[in-house]
Amino acid sequence: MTVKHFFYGLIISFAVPWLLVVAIPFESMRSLESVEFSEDKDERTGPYIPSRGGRMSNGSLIYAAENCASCHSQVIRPTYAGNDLFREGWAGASKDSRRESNAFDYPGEMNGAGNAFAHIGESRNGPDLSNVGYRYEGEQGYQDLLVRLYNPRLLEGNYKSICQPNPALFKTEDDKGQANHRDTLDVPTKEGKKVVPRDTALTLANYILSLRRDDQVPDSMNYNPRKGKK
Amino acid sequence: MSTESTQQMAEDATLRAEIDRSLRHPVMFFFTSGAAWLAVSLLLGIIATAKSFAPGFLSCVDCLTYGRTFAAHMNVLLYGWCAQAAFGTMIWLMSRLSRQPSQSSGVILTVGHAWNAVIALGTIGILSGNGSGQPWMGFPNFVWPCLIVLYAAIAIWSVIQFRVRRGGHVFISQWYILAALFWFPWTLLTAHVFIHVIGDGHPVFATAINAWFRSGLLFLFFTPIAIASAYYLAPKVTGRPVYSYSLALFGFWALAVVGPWAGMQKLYGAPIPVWLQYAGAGATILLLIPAIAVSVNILKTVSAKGETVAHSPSLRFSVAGIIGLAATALFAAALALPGSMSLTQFSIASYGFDIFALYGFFSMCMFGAIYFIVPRITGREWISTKFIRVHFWSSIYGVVFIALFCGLLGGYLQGQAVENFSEPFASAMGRYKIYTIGMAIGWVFVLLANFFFCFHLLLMWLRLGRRSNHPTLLKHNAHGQVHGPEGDLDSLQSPTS
Repeated sequence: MTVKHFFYGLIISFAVPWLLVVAIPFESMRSLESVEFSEDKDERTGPYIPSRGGRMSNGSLIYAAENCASCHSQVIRPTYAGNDLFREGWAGASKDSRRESNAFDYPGEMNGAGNAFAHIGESRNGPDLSNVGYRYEGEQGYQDLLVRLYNPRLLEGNYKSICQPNPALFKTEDDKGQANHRDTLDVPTKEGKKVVPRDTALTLANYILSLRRDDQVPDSMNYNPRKGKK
Repeated sequence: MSTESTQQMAEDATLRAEIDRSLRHPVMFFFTSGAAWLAVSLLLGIIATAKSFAPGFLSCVDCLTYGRTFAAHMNVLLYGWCAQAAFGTMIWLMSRLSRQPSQSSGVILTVGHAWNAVIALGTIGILSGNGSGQPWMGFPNFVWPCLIVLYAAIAIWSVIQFRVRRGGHVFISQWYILAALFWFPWTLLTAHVFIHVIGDGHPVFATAINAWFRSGLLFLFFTPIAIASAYYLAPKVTGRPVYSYSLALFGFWALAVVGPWAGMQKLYGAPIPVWLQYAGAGATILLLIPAIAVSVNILKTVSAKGETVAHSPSLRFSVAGIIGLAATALFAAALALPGSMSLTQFSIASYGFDIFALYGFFSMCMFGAIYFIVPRITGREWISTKFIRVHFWSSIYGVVFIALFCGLLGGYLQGQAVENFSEPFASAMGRYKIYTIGMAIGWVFVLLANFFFCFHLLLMWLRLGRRSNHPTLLKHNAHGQVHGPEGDLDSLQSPTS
């Protein structure tokens, strides 16, 4: 083996998988073709356009910087890869709407620096967050979510949680007696003080509320085991 | 014959001493600053692990939330300790094997300082809430181009030394170093360009590239450097040739062919092409082939010299590391089996695996290299065999407990509870919590081990080591006859060097 052959071997053995596993799939997934609803099966027509609301993009920046993905996943795996579809509340608001994650579910998701990056997650030390928005419905839900971000164990019935408090996202200021803003947290504080969220907490809360990934998808990409059994 | 060979040996010894002297400052700098980062990483790791079962711990400190601490812990471990230990070992081995003293130690030393400054800035970035949230690439974006440029400035000299090598023969260790020199920038550059520079790819595929990068960093940079060190030390310390040259060749090419395919099984079940997930899993399982080829080859090389393995600190750590290599490959294969991926993909088993690979395999090999290299470049022997023993046994105990007991067993149990969808999620959390308590205890052992290691290395850096012509051996009454009567190294060396 001469040094020349050695380097040829190295280059070929690395370049082939690099092209096939990284470069080509990257390019082909960069612009996905839209999937059409079919009149017969979906009772509607037109392309599938994923719906997401809220300040999701800049919310995902904070989600990334706080590294929420080290404990929370955001993927509902198909049945070949796990039982995620069946766990209560993970795959959708109801049994009929639940579905696995698809490639259109992550528009605008970013890493801490604003590059496209989906927070699939590292572990499930906490629950999956693909459809966490449904767990905090209405005004009370919004308040609960803020308290949860401040300190998860202050929520009633949640004292066993091992989720982290995030005091950095909130500030404690003097309570000057004005009527409480809707964002003021209902948490125990020192006399004459109140806890209010910073912008980062509100953005993150908005992002979390936008995580609802169970909109209707074309029949061709829907693998809900209950589909059609209405 | 005798006069010629004696003269040859004297010339060789002079050359070796010259090479060691030329590299003393950069290599010592990489090792000591790496060891310091390792200590920082261990402290962060203990804080993060403690927070996983006691979330209120240190919650008054804003920058130490679990997410930030954990990211800082992993990134400091990877780029502060592992990368710098690899650089130190790599440049020393390349000089020795190419039989060329370093002409550019000043440049390497300067660049090494810059590397440390960038790691410090990146760590502050993570802790202040500016991290990227990407596993193993957690520093803010400005860090990556800096690291790539600094790496090039460190590595280019090793390539040059290889080009002007004396003797012409290419050693097994050199294949691995050359391959690592080539794989590392390509992998890092790929991840950086596709995720950060192009920046507008598919979000899920960006995550997939990150997973591929992690596998590449481990199996195509840290692994070849560790193997290069073991292939150098095993024959060198035992005085026996490598067991089988063709097995070494086979192991090398098996790694080169299989390694770059692995990684994307981390996204099992995520919306990326399914064949990529299975290709990643398949390649990870196939990595058993090179791992076993290398382990068998090195263990066979040292097997007849059991006593040397027990007594030489560098060989003892290297052999433990090489057993760690086989165990790492088994661990990786066990996690990549489709049946177990659904259980362990999102559990502490992945963290346990990362720690086992980075500490139980890679770092053990690096410790072996450090125990060999440092006395040669400082001209002083290690001071205390007790420190080395504590370092060895606490490391082994800590890492096996963290990775195999808490990580692997805990990970399976946690995954099982998550998969059992009729049970409430809290039961999975309960299982996770128990095993993180065990992990914290394991980390305390590893921290203890590295307290002794860092302290010892610092003393050596200050040239407070023993001035002796006797190598440090881990046996009582080590000052036997083999090395002659003990004397002062400086007075013995001065006539020849």
